Amino acid sequence: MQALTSHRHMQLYGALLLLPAAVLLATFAYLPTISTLINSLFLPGIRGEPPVFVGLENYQVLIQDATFWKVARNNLFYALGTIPTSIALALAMALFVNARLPGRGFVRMAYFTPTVLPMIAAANIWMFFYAPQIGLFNHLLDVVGINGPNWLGDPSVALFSVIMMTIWKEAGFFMIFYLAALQSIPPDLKEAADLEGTGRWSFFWRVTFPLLMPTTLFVMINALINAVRVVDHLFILTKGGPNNATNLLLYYVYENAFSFFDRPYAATITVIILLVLAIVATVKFTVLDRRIHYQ
Amino acid sequence: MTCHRHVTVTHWSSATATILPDILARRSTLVIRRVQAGVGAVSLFAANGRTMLDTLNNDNKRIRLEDVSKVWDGLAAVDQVTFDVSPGEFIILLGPSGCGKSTTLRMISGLEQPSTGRIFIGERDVTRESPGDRGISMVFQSYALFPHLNVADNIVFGLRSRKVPKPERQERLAQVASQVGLEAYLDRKPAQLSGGQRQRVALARAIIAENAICLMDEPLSNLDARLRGDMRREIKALQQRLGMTVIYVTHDQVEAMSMGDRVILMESGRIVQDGTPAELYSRPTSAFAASFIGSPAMNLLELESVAGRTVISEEPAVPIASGDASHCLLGLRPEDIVIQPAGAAGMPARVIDKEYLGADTIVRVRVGNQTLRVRLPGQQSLPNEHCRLDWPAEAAHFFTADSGERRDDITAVTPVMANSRSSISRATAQPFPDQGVKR
Repeated sequence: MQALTSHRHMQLYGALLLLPAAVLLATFAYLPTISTLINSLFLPGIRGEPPVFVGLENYQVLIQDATFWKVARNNLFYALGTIPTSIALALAMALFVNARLPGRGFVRMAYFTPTVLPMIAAANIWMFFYAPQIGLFNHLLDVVGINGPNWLGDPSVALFSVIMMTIWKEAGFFMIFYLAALQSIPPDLKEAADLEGTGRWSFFWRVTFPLLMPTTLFVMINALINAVRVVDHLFILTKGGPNNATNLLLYYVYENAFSFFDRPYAATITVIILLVLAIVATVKFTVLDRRIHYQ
Repeated sequence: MTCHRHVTVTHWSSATATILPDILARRSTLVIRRVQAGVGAVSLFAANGRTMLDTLNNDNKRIRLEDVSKVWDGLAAVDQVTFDVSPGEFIILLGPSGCGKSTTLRMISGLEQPSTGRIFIGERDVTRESPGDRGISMVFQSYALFPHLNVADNIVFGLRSRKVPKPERQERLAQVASQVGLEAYLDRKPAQLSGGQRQRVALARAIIAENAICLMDEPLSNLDARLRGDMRREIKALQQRLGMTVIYVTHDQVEAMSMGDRVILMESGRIVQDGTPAELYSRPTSAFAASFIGSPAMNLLELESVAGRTVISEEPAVPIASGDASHCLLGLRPEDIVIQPAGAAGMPARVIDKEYLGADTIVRVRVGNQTLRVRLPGQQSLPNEHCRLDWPAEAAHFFTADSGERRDDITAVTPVMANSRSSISRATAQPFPDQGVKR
């Protein structure tokens, strides 16, 4: 009897320790998720009337919404364009600054600078780079006699321009994770491999890369979340235009909620985004986790 | 020769079980084993036509260092080191931490470039060669196992780098795994192994390459004392069986004495003494060498000259050397000293305390203003305070006080002989009842 109550005591104690985190998570993650889900089942209330329950009608509208599909496709291209490139670039930069080179502290800082800049500020800088006549890129292209495109105004180039900037911004951030992981690999592994005459390339693929897999998985999940979280630099650069050529999911949510004042429709898109993200993250963790070595 | 490789390889544990623990007994059996190992090694590798480890041509097993130095920021970590290693020799680089022994080893392996000097393997100058081209294996202190690869992949890592075809890789893996007793663990990751098993994986990885030379950097320092003793014997037996040239770095004098054919003792980047374990023990060339070998270490006593006689400081009654040796140190091994009752002849001393260790007892005694350790067999009942010490003349070593250099020009006088009050000789001196016969 005594043992039972002391066991209960410990359980209560544990629950109390969890409480602060649980309250925060519930308030800012679970409750909003549930209220979004409920919201997506109503029509917007006009002129103070209460919202009308319509079931899955918003989802039917969504399926028939050509703009949504265009935005979703944009986002897919955006993800495919940014994630592999920024990860590869981050890894390359990390390998570079992890080597012994003069002034590597400075180089590390330089690579990390884009991450420190607020997105709005970075977007403004890139506005100047991309400006059609006076912009840096077209100015440089002019010098070699090429008539540069209208980077943000041409629907066929605009999404690519946004992707470019995202890679520039994200690669430095991911580099920090790779650098930390690289520094945790004991140097004697390289020495042991050197004694066996293992080439650099072979060592990278057989030792370094597998040992970096936990970091790669982490970075991949983060990059994916970032890819559907883009609002701020679209707001500065293109506002989703021209003709929705650069419109991405979360910006579309923002437009629906705060420009068209269709909150339930925005909630519907959000639910879809959450679902897709949850599925992808689950697959990544379950499939890849089995093949990854954690130290 | 039709003999298959497996036939010549005796099982790891059964081979080592025959080795007697006693060092002296082992030394004599080794001669026989070495001959057997030599024969085995020839058939072992001639069978497959690989000539990496070729016992008939020993050229790739010889190592020579000529005036090798390594300077970091103006400080010499290794200072003009020169030595030769004969084929099949087990060489120990011994010294306290920071003496440059590991740096020397890393320069031989090619992981570190010497600042000056040249390194030869056989007749080949390898000073600027990359580590992978030198034909050297190495066992790291940390083992340097690849954490994401299982035991089998760890062992054959180097063979894959050298593009050895898969069937041969498998064959050599099976053979090496049985030699080090890892057959049951090939699928495990290093994290699932005990320290001793990891050590075996590191060893297996070093020997599967069939290189003639194997370097070991404090390979046993992460193991507990008991396992270390077993691994000492196993490594030595493996080296004998494969006929490898081994350079082994350690700060542990027990490993040095028990494993080495030759010990190179280093201090502050320089070689202090280079000789067999017996030479290091019985004829240390400096006070440093004397204090480094032996457990407990050799007693070093300051001497002074009183009325033309050389005596231990503040103990003017008994001279210990003929002639003037006042700026010298007297070195005495704890096991060479005999304790006798206060009434006997010898050096007057006072017992401070004793430490019972099972097989023997370490007694601390005070002579003049200095403390000595005396090692006596078994458990001892000693007089509370006053006693007399004696030691044979050949047990006294003399070193210059400031430079630590050995002095062979001083003739020792035993305390019994010097003590004029008594004529009891060493042969007739009565030991304490339970002291037994000294070695």
